[in-house]
Amino acid sequence: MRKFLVFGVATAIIGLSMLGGVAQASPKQDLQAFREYFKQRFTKVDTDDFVNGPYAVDADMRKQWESLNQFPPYSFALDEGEELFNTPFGNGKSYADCFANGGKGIRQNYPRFDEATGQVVTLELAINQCRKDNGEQPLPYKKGKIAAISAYMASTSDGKRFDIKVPDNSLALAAYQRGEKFYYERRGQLNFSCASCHNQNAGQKIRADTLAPAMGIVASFPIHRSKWGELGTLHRRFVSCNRNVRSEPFPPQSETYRDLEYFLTYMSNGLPVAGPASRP
Amino acid sequence: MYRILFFTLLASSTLLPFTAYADSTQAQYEHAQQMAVATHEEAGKAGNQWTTTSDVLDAAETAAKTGDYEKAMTLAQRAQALAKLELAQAQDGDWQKARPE
Repeated sequence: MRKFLVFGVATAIIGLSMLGGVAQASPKQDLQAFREYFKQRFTKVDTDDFVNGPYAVDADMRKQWESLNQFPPYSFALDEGEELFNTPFGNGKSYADCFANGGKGIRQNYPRFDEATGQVVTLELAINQCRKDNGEQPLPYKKGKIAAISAYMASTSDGKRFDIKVPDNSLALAAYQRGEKFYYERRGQLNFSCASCHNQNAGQKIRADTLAPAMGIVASFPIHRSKWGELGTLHRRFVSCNRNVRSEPFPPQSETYRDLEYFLTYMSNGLPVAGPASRP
Repeated sequence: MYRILFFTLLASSTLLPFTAYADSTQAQYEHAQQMAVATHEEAGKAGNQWTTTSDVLDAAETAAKTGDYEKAMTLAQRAQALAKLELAQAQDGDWQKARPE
């Protein structure tokens, strides 16, 4: 009898451990594994410094960047963003009326999962929703005014730590998992995934550019890219990344890109908001 | 009279195979293009189209519009091959292996 009992318990333990190996990890477990991976890859980089992307892992580039930051190239856009943010709509209301805390110091909570609509809401989507609710035309999502407003809002959260939530809701978890799948899936004729560049080859050169580690990569958006010569949003960067590997990009603020942003920002939880910033 | 009839018959017999060839090249192009577009759309539904395939499909269509069906057919066949690859890539379920454990 005792033999049967021991055999039964042993079988149950083995079975459960196998199940654990197959089951999808929780977002918390993903975050822990993600962080460990980058800490082990870049032992000399301070955790918070990952938000500085390529400059955290390339000393030469960092020197140039620090010089550049004496007069950041996005300064004028930031001023424009502040002015736009504070300019009332036609109905007398303003962006401050649409957001918690008057829209200041909230960047670290975006994107968020909206349980009412079952959708991921990014900051840019919320900005345009605010405009629509107040009878204004929505802004194009890749650059220009929306990038300036988003940059100003990010600047009011400077140093606050990302705190993205995946609530106990099957739709929220599904959105997170779709974003995760997109991140690791290979695409385009060059057969690259996001992770090919920003996990496996982070810190390496691709042509003249240093590939930024994925951990903290979204924390500095919107960014002023030298290549663009202006501010651009995260989804603008997604579009250009996809095109670089010869994959048809998705529309900015499509569900696909919002889910990707949701996953990637969750992977930056605990890191400080550092946007706007400049990049090559 | 016989001379005219002779030359008319001669011209017809010489040109007919070319016309038939042109028709068959056009048909081959249309078939290849149709197949390529269908596979490309299927890859699109799986969220994975390549810009290369879209570009080659456009180039095939442009060649067909100018009447160059030989070139159009070659491009459509290339697009078909690319579309099959992008679809295969979309159906590859190995992404989980890339996650840090």
